[in-house]
Amino acid sequence: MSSTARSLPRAEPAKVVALSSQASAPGAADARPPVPRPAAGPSRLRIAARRYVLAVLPPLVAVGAIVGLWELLCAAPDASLPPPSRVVSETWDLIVHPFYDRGGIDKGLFWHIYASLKRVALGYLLASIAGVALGVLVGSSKLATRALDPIFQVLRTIPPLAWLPLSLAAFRDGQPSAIFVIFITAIWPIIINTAVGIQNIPQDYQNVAKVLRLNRGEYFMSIMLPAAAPFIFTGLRIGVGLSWLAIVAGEMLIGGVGIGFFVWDSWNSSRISDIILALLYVGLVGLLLDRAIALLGRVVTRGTAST
Amino acid sequence: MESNERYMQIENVFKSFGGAAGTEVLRDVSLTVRKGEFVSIIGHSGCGKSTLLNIVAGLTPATAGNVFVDNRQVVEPGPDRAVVFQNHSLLPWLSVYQNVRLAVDKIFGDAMTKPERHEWTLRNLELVSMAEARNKNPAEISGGMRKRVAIARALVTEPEIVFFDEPTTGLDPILVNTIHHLIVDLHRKFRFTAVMVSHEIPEIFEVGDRVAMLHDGVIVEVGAPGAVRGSAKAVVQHFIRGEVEAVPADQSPRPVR
Repeated sequence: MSSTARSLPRAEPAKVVALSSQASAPGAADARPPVPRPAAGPSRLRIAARRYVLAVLPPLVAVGAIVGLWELLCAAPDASLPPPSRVVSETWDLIVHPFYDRGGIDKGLFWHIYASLKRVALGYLLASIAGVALGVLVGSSKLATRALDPIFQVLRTIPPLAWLPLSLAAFRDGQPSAIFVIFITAIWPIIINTAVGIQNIPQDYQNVAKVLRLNRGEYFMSIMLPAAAPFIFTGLRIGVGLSWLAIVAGEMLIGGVGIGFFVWDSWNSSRISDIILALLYVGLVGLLLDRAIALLGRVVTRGTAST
Repeated sequence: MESNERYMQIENVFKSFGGAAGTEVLRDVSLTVRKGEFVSIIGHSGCGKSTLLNIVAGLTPATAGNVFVDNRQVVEPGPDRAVVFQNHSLLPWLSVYQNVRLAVDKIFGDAMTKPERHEWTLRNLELVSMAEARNKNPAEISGGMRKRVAIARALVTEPEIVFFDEPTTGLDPILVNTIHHLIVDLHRKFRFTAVMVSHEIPEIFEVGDRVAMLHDGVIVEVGAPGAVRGSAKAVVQHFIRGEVEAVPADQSPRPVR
């Protein structure tokens, strides 16, 4: 009871919510009871415009301020990092030609990101299947919790890159090693959140299943999976973020086509501006991955998953 | 005839939580219910009435004593003994229709064809006036509507006996009346045996054939509503006038998801 209860808390899973999503949540304003419509038309338009400006302006101002500060700090000719203006001018070819391919690793950024995403897709898919399966096992069996939870708690704290030498030794090839690193990085939050979701299935739903005498298979499909789905998707969302973190670091070491190796290669060739552009793309792709899983969760759980 | 007179029997049921030295919630409770009868169990929060209902439904085992329904001992819940749960317990990821259909598919999956099951689901939703809202999610409908769907889901399996666990909790007074009337109408129409647990004082005397009052885990009074209302016992009169201080709720309502 003691150690497992502490390590698998019966609580809400960690929510990964972007700070800005609350401010720009469209439902928040619409949820208010309808106010009598003002006679004048333009004021409604003005309210909408005001809301739009309030949502868009603050991040724009913040980005502008940061870029401006950066430009100032790196303006000196002997600055170690390029200012944003030089980043844009030096990487302009990369920005406008993302799809070029001159063979080998001399490819546009699209192909590097595409290669990284393919690795992530495979490793993450395997982690999702194995993670949900193990989570269901641990969540529904006290014995399995006792047996496996201590192992999970140790293994999940191992940094992703620490697995790489071991997997290179085991697979003797960079490609499966990178996929294994993704897998082993993404699986822990999926297991743990799935288990917490299963353990937190409300007694009410279990009673419904008991009165209808659902068998194990029916209970799993009709009650267990959907009831735990909001938790499962929280785990999947954390997992996809960690996968993306791990792939960039992993590719730096294994080489080949991929955004991680592109960063490392740029560093070796002192193309600092290329690194900065690549990091920006990595951030944007990571955000898109996170949003994609969140959207999938919302669709699958009919809006009961957190967004 | 004999079996109809003693359709449901609660025999010397005891229940304590937390082992032998734990709190005793029910003490030697016995009650016999006729087939088709509507019995209401009343009492303050914490008097053990919800526990009693869970025991007779087979969801909670009794510490001692037996429950029989139709001469069979209750050891587990089953679709012939439907439960309308206190918190409606609709599955939030299913629509109103799907919530009822789940029960239909499970119980009549072999006996009915697919179109028949669809018809039957719709017919039961119409019984509680919820056919119009069938494609809505539980989160999109009001508390009263959720109770209606929960009632439809319980009745759709054509149960012999229906347990209502505080079916009007969390509703405003007008809705309490509406739901009580709905339950009475359905009982008149289908003549199932009904056991309802409630703490709504005035309404409860209008809905049942008999009323049993539970106080501190013991049945202190049982009889026709008028007789219980006129009971000389102090606890009964205090309860009716709402004078006894409310004991902390045994089951605080869960937030609706």
